[in-house]
Amino acid sequence: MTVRTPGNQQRRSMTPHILVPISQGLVMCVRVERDYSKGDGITKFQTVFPPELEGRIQHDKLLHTVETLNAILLQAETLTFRHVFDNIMECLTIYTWPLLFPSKYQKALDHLRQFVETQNKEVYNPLGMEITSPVRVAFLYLEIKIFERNEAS
Amino acid sequence: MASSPKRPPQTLQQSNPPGLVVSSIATTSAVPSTESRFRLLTSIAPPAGWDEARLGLHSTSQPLSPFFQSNSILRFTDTQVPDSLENLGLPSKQRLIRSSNASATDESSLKTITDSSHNEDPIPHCSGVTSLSNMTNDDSTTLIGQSRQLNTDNYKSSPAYVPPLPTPLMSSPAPINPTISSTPIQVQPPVQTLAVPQLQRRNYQDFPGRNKFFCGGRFMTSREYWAFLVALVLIVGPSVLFGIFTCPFLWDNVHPAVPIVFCYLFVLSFASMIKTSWTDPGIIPRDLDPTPEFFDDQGSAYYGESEWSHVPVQKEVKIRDNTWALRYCDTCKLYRPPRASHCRQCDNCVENEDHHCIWLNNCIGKRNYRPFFTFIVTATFLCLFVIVFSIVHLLLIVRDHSGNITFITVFHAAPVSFVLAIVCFLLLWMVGGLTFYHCSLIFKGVTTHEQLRASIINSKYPGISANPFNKGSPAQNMIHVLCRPQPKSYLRRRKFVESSQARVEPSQSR
Repeated sequence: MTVRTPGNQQRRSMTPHILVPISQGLVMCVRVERDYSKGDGITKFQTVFPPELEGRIQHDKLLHTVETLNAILLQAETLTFRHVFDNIMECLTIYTWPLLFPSKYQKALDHLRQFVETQNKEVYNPLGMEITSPVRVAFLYLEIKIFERNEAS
Repeated sequence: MASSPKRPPQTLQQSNPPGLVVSSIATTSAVPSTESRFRLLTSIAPPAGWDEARLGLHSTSQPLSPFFQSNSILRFTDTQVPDSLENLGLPSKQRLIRSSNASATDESSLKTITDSSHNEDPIPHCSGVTSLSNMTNDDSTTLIGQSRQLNTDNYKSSPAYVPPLPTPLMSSPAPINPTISSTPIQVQPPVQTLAVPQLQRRNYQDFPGRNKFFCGGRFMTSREYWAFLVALVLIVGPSVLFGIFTCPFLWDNVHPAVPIVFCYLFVLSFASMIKTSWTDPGIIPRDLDPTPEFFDDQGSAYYGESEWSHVPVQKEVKIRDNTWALRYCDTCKLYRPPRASHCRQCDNCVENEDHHCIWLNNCIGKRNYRPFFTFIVTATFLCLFVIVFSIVHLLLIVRDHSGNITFITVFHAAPVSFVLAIVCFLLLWMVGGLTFYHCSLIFKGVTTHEQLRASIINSKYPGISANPFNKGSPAQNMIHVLCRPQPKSYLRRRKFVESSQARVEPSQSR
């Protein structure tokens, strides 16, 4: 598959990836920023509707996504006795405990990944958008990519 | 507030380079948010052409601006390509391909005015940027003169890999002439026209920070490892000597449990040391915010030259009751979250960075604070253990030889124990002191950096309380610091490099 470079050169790429020129279709990236009001240790996103998405998606759908993400992360990060026990055992067993018993945080991250996938499939892709998983960007923001409608499936 | 006018979303189907992403930050237009707002220090009046410069970076009329040209060249001459241990044996021609691949995949990543501004002279405009942090892949202009010397061998040995260059980028055809020093840029051949098969590269091979990677990217540490070897010797040496010379005596004469406990402590301490030293401390991936908002610094000495007075604005967020400013990191191209810090030695932004430990050759950050604390605590216990039981050994020898006993006889009977007791006594002061310091930090809920900053601020402006992260009670702080969950590494070290062209289509699920 050939790809155009800025100088209008054709360059054949031999990577095994399927190359889709990203210039086709990507219109905008909109961000939902982090909410630090609860302090350190709690990851939350702001429940503010970005004005760029006005008209593209209903308010309550986006807010439902953000609020569910916040709830998953809150449950993962709130420290309970289970967390403390897991960590003490991890130290005492010379770091072999997490291999046997996956921690609550890891399970929550899997849950979050699945949630983002299902939301993408059911809600966002039909509207021509896609949510990037916040894990990719170290939870600094939540990015929603908007594609041209006729490119979306 | 944001004075940049709202533009219609720019489609990218013209000849803009692929991979160009128009990212409009969600709160650039007036968003009624009480919790986060952008604070502009002066009102922005973007100069003419600024909008194009920011968004339509490389339009068709000018596909090859001089800054773009030198940037791709910089990639090629870059000596900061991290050398993992696996690549050390590569011949020079493969190094050529490697660096060309790195730039080929990067060529269509965003080239903004910040990149071009770094080409001239890496003068830090915003705070938080240190002199060392300027010397990265993106702005290694100052290293061109040095790097060329190192790379001339590469170029000389593989002129065949430089095909004739049809782009107007290359006017001077002769690829290599190491004696030319006046026009370095023209000598370097460009990269994007090399027609060589791209090797499948993993992310860790292209990592821009100053880190070393082992075992195919599974382990990572920083660069200067001599102090780590010293620390290793200091941990392993006395422990092994104790195990060989004193433990048999203790097994027979005191109790078998004593050597077993010692072994357990030693293994735990060693494992913690390796885990602290060889894992990701919580490095934040780069280029998360490549186009920050700028403001014209009219007070700057360089006002008038368009690139130099553009300083990224600081974001403001509210943490509990305090307002906190998020600084922009020029090297990593992102807004640092609160408590993150850019490490000068590793040249990375690290979450919750406590400090950079030279003895462990790694930053201590969010992900490895717990094993670090475990290491210093168990090392203190090891020291105490060795001292106590060496003295017990010596005392038991004295008791066994009850009668004519002199210092010399005792010394000859158990010289190793004697020496060990002295050595560990000295080590105890260092490690024990560090342990107490970190315990006090944990009870207050601060990192080392924050503590040092607070002590400076308090000496200048007494009365300002600076810690919005205190949970209230020492016990709460301790539980939070020691038992907070450990996130997975964000670096995706062993995943293959995604070139910006190879993006999954939106209809496919991730």
